[in-house]
Amino acid sequence: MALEADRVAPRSGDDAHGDFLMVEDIVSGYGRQEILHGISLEVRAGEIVAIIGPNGCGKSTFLKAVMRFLPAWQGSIRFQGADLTPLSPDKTVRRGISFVPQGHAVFPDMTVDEHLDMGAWILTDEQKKRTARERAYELIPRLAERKRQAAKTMSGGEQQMLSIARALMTAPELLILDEPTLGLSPKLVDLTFETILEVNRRLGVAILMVEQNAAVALENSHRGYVLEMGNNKYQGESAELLRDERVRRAYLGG
Amino acid sequence: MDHPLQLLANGLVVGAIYSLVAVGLSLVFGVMRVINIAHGDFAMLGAYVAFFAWDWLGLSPLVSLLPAMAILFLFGAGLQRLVIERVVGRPLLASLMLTFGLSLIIWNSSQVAFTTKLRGISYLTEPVTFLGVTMSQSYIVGFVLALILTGALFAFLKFTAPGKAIRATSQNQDVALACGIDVRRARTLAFGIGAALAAAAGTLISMTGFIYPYMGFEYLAKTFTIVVLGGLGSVAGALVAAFAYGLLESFGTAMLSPRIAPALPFVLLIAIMIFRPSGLFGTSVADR
Amino acid sequence: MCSRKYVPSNDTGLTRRNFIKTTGVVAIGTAIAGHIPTIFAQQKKPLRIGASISLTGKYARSGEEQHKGYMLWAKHVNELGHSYGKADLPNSGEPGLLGRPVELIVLDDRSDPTTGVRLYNELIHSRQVDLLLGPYSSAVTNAVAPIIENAQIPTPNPMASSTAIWEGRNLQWQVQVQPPGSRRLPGLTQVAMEHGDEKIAIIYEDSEFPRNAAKALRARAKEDGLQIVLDTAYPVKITDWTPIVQQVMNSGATVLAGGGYLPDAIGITRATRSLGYQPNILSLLVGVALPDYRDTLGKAALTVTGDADWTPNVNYPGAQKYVEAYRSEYGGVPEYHSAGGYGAAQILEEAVRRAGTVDDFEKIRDIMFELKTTTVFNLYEVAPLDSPDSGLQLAANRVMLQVQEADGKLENAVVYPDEAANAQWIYPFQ
Ligand SMILES: Nc1ncnc2c1ncn2[C@@H]1O[C@H](COP(=O)(O)OP(=O)(O)OP(=O)(O)O)[C@@H](O)[C@H]1O
Ligand SMILES: [Mg+2]
Repeated sequence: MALEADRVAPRSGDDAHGDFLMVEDIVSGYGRQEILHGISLEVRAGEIVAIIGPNGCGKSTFLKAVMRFLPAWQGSIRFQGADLTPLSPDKTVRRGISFVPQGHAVFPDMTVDEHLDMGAWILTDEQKKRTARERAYELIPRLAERKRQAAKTMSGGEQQMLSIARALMTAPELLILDEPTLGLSPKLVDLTFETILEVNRRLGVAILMVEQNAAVALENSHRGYVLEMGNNKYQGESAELLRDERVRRAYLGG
Repeated sequence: MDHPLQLLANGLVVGAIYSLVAVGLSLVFGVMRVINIAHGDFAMLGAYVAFFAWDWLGLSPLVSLLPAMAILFLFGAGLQRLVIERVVGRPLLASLMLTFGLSLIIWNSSQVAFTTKLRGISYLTEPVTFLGVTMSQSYIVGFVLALILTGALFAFLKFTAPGKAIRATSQNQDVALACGIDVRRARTLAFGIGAALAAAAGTLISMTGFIYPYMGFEYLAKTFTIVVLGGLGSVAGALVAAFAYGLLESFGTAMLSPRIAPALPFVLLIAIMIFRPSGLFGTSVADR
Repeated sequence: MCSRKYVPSNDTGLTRRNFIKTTGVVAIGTAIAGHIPTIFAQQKKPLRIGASISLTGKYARSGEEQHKGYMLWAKHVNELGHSYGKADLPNSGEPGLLGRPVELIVLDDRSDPTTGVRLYNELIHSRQVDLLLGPYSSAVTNAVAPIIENAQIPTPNPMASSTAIWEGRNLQWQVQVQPPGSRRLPGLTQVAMEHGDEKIAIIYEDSEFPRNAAKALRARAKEDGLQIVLDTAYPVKITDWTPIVQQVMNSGATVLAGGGYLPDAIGITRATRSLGYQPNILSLLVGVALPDYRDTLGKAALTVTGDADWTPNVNYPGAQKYVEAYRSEYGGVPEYHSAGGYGAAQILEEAVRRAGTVDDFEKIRDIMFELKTTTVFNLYEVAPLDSPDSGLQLAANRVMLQVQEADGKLENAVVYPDEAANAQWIYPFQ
């Protein structure tokens, strides 16, 4: 896919190590089947981190483990100095991590307004909810035009935007996205990345995203991780990975 | 066709009672992707609570409706927490086997406890006539109560926080989790509510029909068809399909033959499976 | 095949009975019923009457009832010189049958027709009993019929409702006592005609028994000139009868008959009440006879009619004394199987007394086939010897019951036939 030449990788946030998101040696899976065999990963405050890897290597599984949807059989997840490992998913959300799951991550029968409402589930302060809603509509004006539309009648791109807007309702410090551009047309891919970068720049939200389009992902992130078969394969500055011969050959088609 | 209004009324009354069982079954499938074979048995247990409240304490079924619902709510919620929660997310067959086993246990112990004797409550049996439609008071009361209860369920799901949590969990569990919703609690709650509504249906059946330990399975067979017709997991669909089922039974018997009438819902089911595989109101699984 | 014989246990009702002590007569495994006064013991040779009954196996409960009927009959004959309602026969009054004490020899066929065949052979040939009574159930009766024909011993059969055993077989030695199973809801068409009803609706569950019952009803309705305005089967698994009763209502029928089993009876009654349908007769199969029917419906059951083989409140001669005797002997209320056993033995008793002999089998047989009488169980008259269906029961009828209120309690009154009735048929249905 052709990239706009003037797109600039965003600046990195502060450089302190280990006190934002720190995932160490995570082992997890479904039922008795081990999918992740010990993955480590770090996200620093304000940073955009991309995860790439072949289909079925465990990228989504890893994100679900970070969100505490899946139990960690081994290893630890720390966020802003607190241990998330023993927490339930709702507690993780309350700590300031938001998640956009892979593909059609909406409530099909709920309207846009209702989604934002559900996004603010953990908020009790009505004032905060209102501000969050206004901010979401301001960030993604397209949604403001269809407040009463049911999600299932919206296009794939709109659903993706809606899911991101919903995730931002809690004003998170870290936004985790699972393949936000899956199934979108090139134009919508750009629009989506535009939005993500905007969230990062304007709201200072750190981003951890899985992307199937390795080139776009690395061009729009600070650092990247390459997973393979449930293991860490390569990692580094995105720019360096883009140049790395092995990564280029395996994931960038040359 | 003679007396179309009477046929309509008959169909609506039966449909209203079916709907009470069906919405619960659909709700439970929605939040946990479990087909609860024991759901009809909750109706049976509720019916017996009402019956014994009447037989021993002389309580009107309209009064014992609430304790029957409360008892079955606790029973259902407890069962979900302790047993059914374990098969959530497992293949459908696992939950089918589990709930089938539970159904057998409930049914068999009920046979021991209550015997296979048919029972019923004779209450408000006097017929009244209105607009040329004649119906015993118990049917009318049953109809109104069934409507009130399903109405209450819809309001609960639409406007209250726990109701929204149930809807969210039903529509997309991962996103519900991402919103910070305690989906386990939503499941337990939904299961309890389903059991309570079934108990309400059982109470009404004890007043308009008769009850016996095996009745659960017979109502399950009907409501399962209804739930599939309406779209698995869709509560509104179950409601509409329940009335469609009642009306098909009523008009089909009168206009075609009592032997053909019971097949009509299945004809409709097949037609819907062909033209709208996800049911009347269903969102197809791929959309979830 | 080794059969375990029936050994009378020394509990409950049996303790009060004195068992005959004569050696050589009582073999282990032979049930002897009936009190035999000591005056007999030395003087007269006992009259040995043999039968096999299903005392174990699937028919055990009913077979045991029938056995109690036999035993009670033997006791009454031995003590009073007659059974209840048969005091006025010739040669009665002296204890026993024609002066000889009755001794029952009852073996257990374990509800198995093949065993029944072997046991009747044993009774006739090795034990050389003087007379026979029939076994329990149509199946066993049918199996042993050829043996009895061969042995040429007159035998009344209490509990065989199947007509196929007699129809077209010209049996010469055995008669049917129980009303044939197809004669359901007796008096229904007659009473309807008497009151000027013209239109009947027949609705029935689509399964074997209700289908046959409906067939017989249909034939009788046609015979009696009733117009069948609706005749329809409904499937087995229905839970709501309202639409069908609605159709009956629309058909203009003033008589509604049919159903299937207990659920059908309850469901049809509920639907009838709910729709405010007012036929002149509402008559339903099976369910009405059961207490559950009244318990479930309460007053909604009032004036609904249904039928039974026999009930403890029938008014046949001697029936009430029989019920009383059963209660004091065994406790509880007799079922129709015991009344049937008693009634069949009464037929044998009457034929023997009228013949004045126990040895002239042909004479006894002729009388048995010509007899028109009543027992505690039912009316009795069979097809004559020279007809193809000889021995088939013609007069016996089931009784029609109607739920009526007495002293604030709901009861099944017997309203038909007149010989059995203890109450008036309340017409129309209310
Ligand atoms: N709910 C589940 N139960 C059992 N196994 C699962 C489940 N979800 C995923 N898996 C398996 O886990 C492995 C990793 O799946 P995962 O979805 O994490 O891969 P992925 O890297 O996200 O792939 P993709 O790029 O296609 O999204 C796969 O083999 C998949 O079949
Ligand atoms: Mg994935």
